[in-house]
Amino acid sequence: MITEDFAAYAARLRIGFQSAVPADEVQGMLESFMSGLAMDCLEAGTRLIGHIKCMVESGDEIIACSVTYHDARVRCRGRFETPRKEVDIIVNVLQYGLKKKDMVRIVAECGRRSFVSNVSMSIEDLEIEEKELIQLS
Amino acid sequence: MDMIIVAGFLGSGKTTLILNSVDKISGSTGKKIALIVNDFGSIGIDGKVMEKYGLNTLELPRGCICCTLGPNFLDTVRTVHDKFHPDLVIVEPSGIADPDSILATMEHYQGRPLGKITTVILLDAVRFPLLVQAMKIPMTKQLHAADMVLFTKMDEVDEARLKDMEAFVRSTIGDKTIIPVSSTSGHNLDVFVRGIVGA
Repeated sequence: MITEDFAAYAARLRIGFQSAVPADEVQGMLESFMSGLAMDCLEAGTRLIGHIKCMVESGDEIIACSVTYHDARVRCRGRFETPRKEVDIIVNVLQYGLKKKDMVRIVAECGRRSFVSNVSMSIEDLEIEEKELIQLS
Repeated sequence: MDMIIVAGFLGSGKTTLILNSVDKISGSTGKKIALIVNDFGSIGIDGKVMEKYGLNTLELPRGCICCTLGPNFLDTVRTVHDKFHPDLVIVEPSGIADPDSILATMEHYQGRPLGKITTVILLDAVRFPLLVQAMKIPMTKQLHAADMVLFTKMDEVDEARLKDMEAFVRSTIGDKTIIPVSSTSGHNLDVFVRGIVGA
């Protein structure tokens, strides 16, 4: 490896809405979540965002978004085409400067903030062998 | 089977470049292409995206093929060969991989002899000043393995930035082919394809 002083965190967020949310609205929430992750990492003192990326897979649809820069601009490949009652997001955060526990907190807080109220959200840490499920609501 | 290693720091645009140029490569050469995608995370997002776009892909998540996953990488190259029988395998290492170590690992490959191995290093034009400041040594390490250097996201920067980057690369590794590209607008992707496969 060219560097070893980074910290990585991968998680799966399962979001459930009370009723189906229009595609554009879910897209907006996802992009806000990704942008929020970058901004919160910066606020918490990250030295460099390596790559924050996520993927939502459902049937034939796949949406992959990423943020690489301090301007927190989100680039997405693919968009939601149909309303969603639930969303399953895999997110990878790789950055320099923060510890894993900071990223765990940031992902949970951004998830709560971006996917509005009246939802259920669980977060599964994908970096550990023995899975830990955090039930947030 | 030839091999192209598309390396570069995290977020430099490796996946986007491959997704937007693989059809051009196969279209202009008629070559059958397979991909090996290495992601540091426990679930390989890039590999899944490529698979979803219909590309023959094998993933190597949970580590880096330049070190911890080195033996797995050799097995995967052999598997790709046996499973897809490609003329060309494109390897996307994780953004923290040292391409020189991948080349060293490939010296231990015991499958059917490979043809040419070409290493392309991507430099993110948007983040260049930041990366030079924070990651100069690692970035230089990646550049030393380059047969060709691509300045990615060229449509988002001005000429002065590209000149700065060229000066940096020339002073670091001398006279190697440099191509500024934009994978999203498609600018210079044809030049890249011609340069990489001679088509």
